Amino acid sequence: MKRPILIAAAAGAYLVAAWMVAPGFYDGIAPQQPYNWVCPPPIAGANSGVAAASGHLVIKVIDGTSDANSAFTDDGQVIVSFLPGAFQAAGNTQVTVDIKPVSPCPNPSDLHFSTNVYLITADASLVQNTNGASPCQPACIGMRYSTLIPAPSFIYRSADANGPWTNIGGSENQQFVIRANTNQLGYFAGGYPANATNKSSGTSQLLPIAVAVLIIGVLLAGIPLAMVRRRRAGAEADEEDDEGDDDEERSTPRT
Amino acid sequence: MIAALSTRPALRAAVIGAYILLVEWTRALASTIPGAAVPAILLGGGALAVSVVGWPAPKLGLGTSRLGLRILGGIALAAVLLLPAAVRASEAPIIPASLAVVAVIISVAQELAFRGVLYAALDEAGGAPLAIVGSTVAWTAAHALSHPPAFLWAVAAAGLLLALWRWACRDLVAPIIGHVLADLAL
Repeated sequence: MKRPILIAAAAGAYLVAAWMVAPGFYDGIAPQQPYNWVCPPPIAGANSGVAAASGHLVIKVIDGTSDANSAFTDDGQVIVSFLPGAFQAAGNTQVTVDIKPVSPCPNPSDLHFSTNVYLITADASLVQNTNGASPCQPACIGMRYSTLIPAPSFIYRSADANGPWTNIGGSENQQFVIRANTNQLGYFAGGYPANATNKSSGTSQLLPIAVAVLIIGVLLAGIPLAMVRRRRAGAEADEEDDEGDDDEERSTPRT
Repeated sequence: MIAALSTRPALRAAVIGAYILLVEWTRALASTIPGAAVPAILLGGGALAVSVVGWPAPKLGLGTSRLGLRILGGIALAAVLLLPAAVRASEAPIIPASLAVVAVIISVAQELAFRGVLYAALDEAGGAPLAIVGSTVAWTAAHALSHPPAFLWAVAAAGLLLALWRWACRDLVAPIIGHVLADLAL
């Protein structure tokens, strides 16, 4: 009787210890996509030593039309692409774009961010009337994310670090990078609604279901197995087979 | 040297423990090299599995007797290991399907090495208490380079649970099944 109690106590100790760190059990099989966090989640603690980088770009303006170009952070975690004429740049000779990781980290109650929050600014406004001929008008933003946490479903944009945050969509045509078009600059982050299943998976729903199935399986299979075992034990007692089976015992589980 | 290992269980356990830790730490460091994670896991898993050579299956807790109960135990262990993540599923990273085979290989290899060979060697050297504590400490130390410090308590508790099962039921099949299912999920 002592052994089941010890196992139950160890299971309890595990549940307490695992509950103290999200998500709990984590064996780190998936190759880590290095990500430079401003505010690393607990699961990323071991690889959070490198600071998130900023980016800077100067776009030429020729005959009142801003040139095509892309701004990106030095660590490649954010890239913003601008098509020709993306800015209202008449009268300017150049447009300066800056990308900066935001600290302290905004933490809206209704969203989970899967990336750092970045502030993207320019000294000219983006044009608002686009013809829609390109999927990247007037600008599009790509945000890389870590594999250590659930993937973002959307990119969110806000004029203020404290929100409100607007969902500007999100698509993924490159692994670990989410993209969206934008006609405004400001604060950007990849994430998903706090009360929703994230895109990386129906697995957010699958995992609880899978564990529930495991528990039900243990309960349902355990009852007949226990009955069979009891019947066998009874039959063995009836036979009063007193042959020693110590050697057998050594190699037979006590389950 | 080999004669000394065969006659001195404590030395044998120490050498096995050092070998397993060396493999695991090398694997953890190699996994940080871009593109090297999967080869490192496969090679590390193979190197861990080599440690079972020369050990009879019953001493490692392997066997097919009462297989139904062993499998059931493995499912129960997986349910316990995954329960905290299942409750907070939105915070759980999910292992890509392409890594399923890799996850199976490394989790089987780790169980064979820690709760199989190392446990058996420590059991011979100092009995069950040393085997349970020693394999749990080695298991936790092996994850020190790959996991944030905050996770090591959970890692240690998982190792203790699996080692206690190995002791109480003289069974390694259930820890293997539990570990494989848990690694396949996260």
